[in-house]
Amino acid sequence: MCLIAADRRARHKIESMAIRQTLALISAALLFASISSAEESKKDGAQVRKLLSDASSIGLAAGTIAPRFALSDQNGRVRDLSSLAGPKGLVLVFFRSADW
Amino acid sequence: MFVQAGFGLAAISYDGVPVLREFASRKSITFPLLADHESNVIRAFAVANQRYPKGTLLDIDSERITDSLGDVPVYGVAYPSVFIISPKGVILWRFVSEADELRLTAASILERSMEMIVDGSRRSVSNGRVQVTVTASNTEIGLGNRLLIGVELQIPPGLHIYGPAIGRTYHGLEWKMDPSTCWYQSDPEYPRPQLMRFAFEEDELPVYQSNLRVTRELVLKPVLSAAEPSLFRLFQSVCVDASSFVKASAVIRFQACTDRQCYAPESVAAEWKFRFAPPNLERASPELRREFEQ
Repeated sequence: MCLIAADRRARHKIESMAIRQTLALISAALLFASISSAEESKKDGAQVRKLLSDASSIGLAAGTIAPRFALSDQNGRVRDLSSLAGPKGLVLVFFRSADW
Repeated sequence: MFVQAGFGLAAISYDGVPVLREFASRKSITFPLLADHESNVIRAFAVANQRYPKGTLLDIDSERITDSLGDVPVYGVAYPSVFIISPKGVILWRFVSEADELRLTAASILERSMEMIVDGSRRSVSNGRVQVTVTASNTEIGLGNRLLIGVELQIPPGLHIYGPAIGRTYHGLEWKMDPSTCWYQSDPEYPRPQLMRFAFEEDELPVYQSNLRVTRELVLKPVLSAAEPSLFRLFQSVCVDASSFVKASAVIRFQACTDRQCYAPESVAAEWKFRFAPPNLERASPELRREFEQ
């Protein structure tokens, strides 16, 4: 049962890899082949501005009180704001994953 | 860098303690990595990625949502975000990115949030009447890294240059990046010019008279499918040179004037150079990876 599932998964992976490689080549060509026209680069400009801006509608705003938290660190020690902050405060970085 | 500036540093993700322990030892990370396995704190800060509802699986090579069992459950994963919190618990500054592949560098966070300028590099590019120096917050760059580059002009007493967007009659300050498929860049942030009145012109004109620093963000394109060898090879061949450097270049235009006369407009070529840090595609060991939960 498990073997069949693994086999199916492997086959699926191989098929999707082939498709992805084709897609990658096409997108690579699109990405690098063209240095866009003035019109396009204006459009790109707006997209890039949006891409690089602070997504202000997401996340708590500056000036608000940070939620209290107590979480284990990589050594299993429970940490909160007071145990983490320096004299000026804490830089808290949210990242996607250390797993993938 | 943050610790020297008086801040504590911690990073938080939806991973469990074993994944973080392995990651920290593999990457020699000594600052705290916090395990928010249930994503409660991620949700409390309102930075859970809303594109991924419960049960979503992601193919991490293509960053596409899939239904294949071999892929990764991403419900509760955070948007890449930074919060600076005062010792009393008030959020002083924040930056949330919807672009999953882009990362602010530490130096650029310090400059954006508290105007602490960290010069990773600084180089003079013109020794004329007006001296021009280029700076960069970092010397090394990886895919999707966001750093700040700067142009500084030293304007001696008695001279001025015109501010940007002054119209066609005058040569205002302009910083134009050369076209490149390797980078994204933001618009330059010019300081506000002074308004000055001249005998030859009815309206006041925007000018700079002392030293000035203009900055903009420079982002090495993430090449979304960095895990795709063909695309990555293409990126390398176009953007990374034989000695592992990526370069960005620009032209800086301005005209120096006194009250009575102007010198010929100048065009200064500027270049920034960064050592390329290849992407890290290593994963946690299989037995530690996140399992799909119904």
